[in-house]
Amino acid sequence: MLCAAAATASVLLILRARGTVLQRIASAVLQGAIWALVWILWQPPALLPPHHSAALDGAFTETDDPARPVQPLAPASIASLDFATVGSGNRERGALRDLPPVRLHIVSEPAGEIGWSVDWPREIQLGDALSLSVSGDSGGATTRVTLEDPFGNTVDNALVAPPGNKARIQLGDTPKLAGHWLYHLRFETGSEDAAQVHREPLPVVVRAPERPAVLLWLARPGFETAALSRWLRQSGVAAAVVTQLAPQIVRREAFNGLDSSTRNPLDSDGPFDLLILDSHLWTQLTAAQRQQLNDLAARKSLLWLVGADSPRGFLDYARDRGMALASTAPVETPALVGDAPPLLSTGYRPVGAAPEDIRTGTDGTPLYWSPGGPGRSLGFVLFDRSYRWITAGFAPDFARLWKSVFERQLRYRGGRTPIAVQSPLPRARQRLTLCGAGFDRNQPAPIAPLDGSAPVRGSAAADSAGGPCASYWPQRAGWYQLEEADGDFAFYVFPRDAWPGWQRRIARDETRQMATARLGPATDLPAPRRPLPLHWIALVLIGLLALTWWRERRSLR
Amino acid sequence: MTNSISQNLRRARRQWIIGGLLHHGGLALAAVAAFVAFTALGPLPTWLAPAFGVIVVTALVLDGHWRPRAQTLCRLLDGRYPQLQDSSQLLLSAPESLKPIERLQRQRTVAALGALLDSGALRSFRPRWHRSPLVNAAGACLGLLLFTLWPQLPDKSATAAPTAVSGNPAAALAVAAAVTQIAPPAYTGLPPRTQALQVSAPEGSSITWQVDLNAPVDGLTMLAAESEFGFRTDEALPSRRWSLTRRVNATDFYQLSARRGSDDVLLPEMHNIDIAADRAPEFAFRAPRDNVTVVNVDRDHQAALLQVSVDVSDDFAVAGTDLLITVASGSGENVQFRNDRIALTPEKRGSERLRHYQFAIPVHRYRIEAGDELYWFLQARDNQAPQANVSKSQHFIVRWPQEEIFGLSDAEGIAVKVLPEYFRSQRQLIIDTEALLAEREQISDSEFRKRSQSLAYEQNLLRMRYGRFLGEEDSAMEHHDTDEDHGATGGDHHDGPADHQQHEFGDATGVVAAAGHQHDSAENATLFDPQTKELLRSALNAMWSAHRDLSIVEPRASLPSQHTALRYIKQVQQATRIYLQRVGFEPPPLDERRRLSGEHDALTPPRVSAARAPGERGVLLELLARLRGGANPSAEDAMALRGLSLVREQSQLQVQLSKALRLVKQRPDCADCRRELTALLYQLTPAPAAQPSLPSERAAGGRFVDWLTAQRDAADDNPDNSGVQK
Repeated sequence: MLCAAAATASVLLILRARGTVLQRIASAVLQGAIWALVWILWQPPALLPPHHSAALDGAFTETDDPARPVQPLAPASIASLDFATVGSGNRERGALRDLPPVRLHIVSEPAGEIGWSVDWPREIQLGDALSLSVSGDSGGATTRVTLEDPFGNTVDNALVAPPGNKARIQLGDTPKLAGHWLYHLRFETGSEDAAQVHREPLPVVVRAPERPAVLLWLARPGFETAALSRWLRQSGVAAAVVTQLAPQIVRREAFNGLDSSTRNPLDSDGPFDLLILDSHLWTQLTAAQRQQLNDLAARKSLLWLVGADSPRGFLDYARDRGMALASTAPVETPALVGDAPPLLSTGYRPVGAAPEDIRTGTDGTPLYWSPGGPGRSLGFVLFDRSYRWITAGFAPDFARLWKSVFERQLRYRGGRTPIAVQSPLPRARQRLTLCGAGFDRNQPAPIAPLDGSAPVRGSAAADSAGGPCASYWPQRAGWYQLEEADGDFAFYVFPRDAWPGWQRRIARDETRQMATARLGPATDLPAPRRPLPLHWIALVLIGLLALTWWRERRSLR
Repeated sequence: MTNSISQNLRRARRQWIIGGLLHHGGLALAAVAAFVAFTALGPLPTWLAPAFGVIVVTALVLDGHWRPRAQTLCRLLDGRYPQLQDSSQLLLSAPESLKPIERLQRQRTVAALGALLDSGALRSFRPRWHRSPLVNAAGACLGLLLFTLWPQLPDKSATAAPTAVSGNPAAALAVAAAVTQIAPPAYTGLPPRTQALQVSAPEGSSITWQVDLNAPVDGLTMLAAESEFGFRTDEALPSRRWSLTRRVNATDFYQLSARRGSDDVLLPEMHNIDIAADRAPEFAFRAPRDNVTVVNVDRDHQAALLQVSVDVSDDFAVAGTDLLITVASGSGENVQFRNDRIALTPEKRGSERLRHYQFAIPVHRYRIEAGDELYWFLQARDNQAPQANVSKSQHFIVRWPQEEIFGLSDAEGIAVKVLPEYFRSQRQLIIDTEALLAEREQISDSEFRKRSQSLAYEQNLLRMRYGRFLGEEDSAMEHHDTDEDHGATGGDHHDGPADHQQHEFGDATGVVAAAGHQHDSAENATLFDPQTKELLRSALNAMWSAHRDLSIVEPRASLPSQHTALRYIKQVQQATRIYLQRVGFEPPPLDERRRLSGEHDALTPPRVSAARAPGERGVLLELLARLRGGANPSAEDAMALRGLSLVREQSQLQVQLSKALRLVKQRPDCADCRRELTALLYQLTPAPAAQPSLPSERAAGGRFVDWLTAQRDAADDNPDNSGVQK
């Protein structure tokens, strides 16, 4: 309407102007053409015939005729295609999923990609080792892969030399501080004189351990429990060690600020998260205390140190709990770690245990049994003599051994529901999908950049096995945090050009997967025509305007 | 006539047009000249020159002044030249259309115009050079040029901050020339040399700095890592030339600080002093290969075993090597020790830096008996002055085995006396096995096999000797001719059964030994209680396993068995201790009525409330946290860092840490300095050990079986719950 009004006004002005009739008619026509082009520029008519096939390549454009300039494909145009070919420009799952229904054909497979991808734990606890596996193709050149810590120090490296092009190397480090850290992998390819160097980021979230409160209740002192007690104390864990030689002979120790004034260690309201009991203590427990054990296993975590010659009553208790133990001869297990001294099994083996609930030595001897569930965290330690690892120089392995037992016992006492990042390589200005059981489908929580920028709001996405999901489009690379009530969850968004080889690999794999899954187009849809290219319209408009100016330039002087 | 008028007008018009175009041409030339001139200041975008051209052409097109119409031309002529009497317009009209008076005026105007043209007065007939199109175009070109040049202009707001800490203009003070003369210690034999401010010298060198400054100062000081040294000058103050002589024994770094009046000016550049320490001599033994050598008293067979061949090397010169010998004679509590020290003479084929020694252990000097042991090692010193570096080699043992320990009349009941000497053997076997494993890479396979089998032979000997404590029935199977050659150990285990066969069929005593017990014999009676015997039997089993693994050249697999054997032997040692009652003390008899009836309420066992010590990691973590928070490390922090065990052991690390601390202290705003110090402290921080921790995420809801079990349990608890099916 505006264009029509403006054209009418122009014509009226022309009619009132001086000049011959022919001149005024020509001017009116010119003005009409100008305003018509303005309107066409705003609403380009679909006059061009539709495509039947196109190639999804590069910038999501049609390239069936290389001589013609590339133009972005509208969704309706894509829907009218019989098929779309995907060549070298493989697309990621998110981009392909957004396509209207069209059958995809992969017309070319890359002969061999030169690039690296890496597999590493995004989140670990302080004290855990960071182990990463780097795999890829060095392209026949000697490549040195170096792991740099967040401060630029080299912590590990490996050399990938030909003739094997494809390589898989292991690198590792132990982070020393809690926080959000950005490790880097440096790839140096070629000779020293002409080495090509590039660095890729490797984000890791190192969580400070939330220390549990532990009770160690013994019937007799021993080397094993002394070593365990010492490890608890040196780890900063609030722990209480109660040695009860007889009902009236009790010795109490409290470490790291724990109040040991509690007379009944089995009180369900007590401060302890994990209670470690000596099986020989069974005969000293009262009936009421034995009754409390069931509640403790449900609400907290109960770990029994099953010693040799355990009382009959304890074995009956274990059988009643569905964890029957059978007597065997104590045997020494071969070394679990390097040349560490062997452990000694205490002469009991589980009966009817599922393989995934038992940890065994290298020779299959059961060492630890914990079937457990959310309401029953009960475990039996069936080995002894791990204290010799400390004196033999394997103190870190001793710590890892017992940490693995504690992790199994306390696995249902974590604070936050798991949250998963769907994409292995989330990048800036790409779709990022988070899934978690605690997500709100109606109003997904925003993600906030840790540099203080404005939060990024998301939209609900389709649920996954992990629960409801939400999609975000962060515009910049960096650390982000999901704002939610029960704790923080931080993750890293990579720059768009990070890990090019890995990106290609992901796109190739996802394209192949999506191509085999997508349906063809509906055959009863009418094929829409294509609109006129805007730049040609603009060019004609400029030409008419120039012509107008040329004719009226004298009046501008 | 008319033609001449037209011609004159055209000439005037041409003059005007040329003048106008010249202005545009000048503008174009000025734009080109500016582009070329400012390219020297910095790279200009390539689109700038075409943009200038577009601007000039546009101005030319839009400028109508230089191409006037006829009427305008006449008006311009009238305005410029009064001679035309404002009558130029008459030249455009035909004479026939003019009135007579106009015609007359026209003629006068023609003549005036012709006169002007002939006189050349129209040479200045041109449009004004400062007309608006030209000014606008020039302004556009200038603005475009400034727009592209602006980012390249120096930032005038940044102050030229002096590098001196005191804020004085230290840029004016600098080292004009500096020479260091290095005089290595005389014993090194190295020639003196000169270097610049970065110094690299051997330990103990005398270094003389000669510094020439570009401006005179009142004093110059060297700020080393831990101390300060003052330069001196031979000229009157203030002086430019300063010198300092120091003897440097450890790696260090320094800065220079000058004094001007009451102000101190710091020259911030840091210079290293790398000192190559004089290392102690090192030993490389070619013979013997084993630390323990078992020889016979019969000297004819021992000569080869007592030969020693060793190379002693040093970075400058080996001053001397001594052989230190200790002979232990006797047994039990009657062991006597004799020490001796013998200076060795090197072979002539060596040099000062590498001495070769070949000699035999002089056992003939000492009265050696069976059961004696000789310990020897080498001690070498270099020629460092004033205090030589002394190093000691590993210790070697030469052992003469004792043939028989039983059969002595005083052997009964004093088995404890003979046991301790064998405890050393098992421990020494472990040491030798570990040494063999450590040298695995340096020796050949055949040598490795030979030494492993040698160890197997010794382990077997030890096992047989211990077996005798269990009675004849255990040792009969293990009887072995100890006169066999030490090197031929490969057939040891084969000779055992053969020997046994010989005893079994050819010797009556062997039949008795194989089939019967001799418990009534004093020499063969078991001396231990059954529990101790069990321990000893376990030790024998472990020794057998060790012997087996060593025989098949698997020394690493034998180590656990050897450790087990040693442990059992120690337990046997503990078991065989004799506790004697003290004489003269009669304890009162126990009152059974009072036993275990004490009042426990009065007892208050101390409550042990212990917390873990932070350790070095805690110190470093605290400092890292403060550093990353923006705080600067204090002097106490620096002292605490220097006290770290890792820093104390490495001098290079001490220097690196001192430099980083000083940089942060001198440049609090230097982000790179702080980052380097943070990186260094992070590197020094010990890695945390695995700790007990609660998981950050709750595990999934267990297995499906667990869920079913939970549902079933809930249904059992609430049978009225219709939602649960059994």
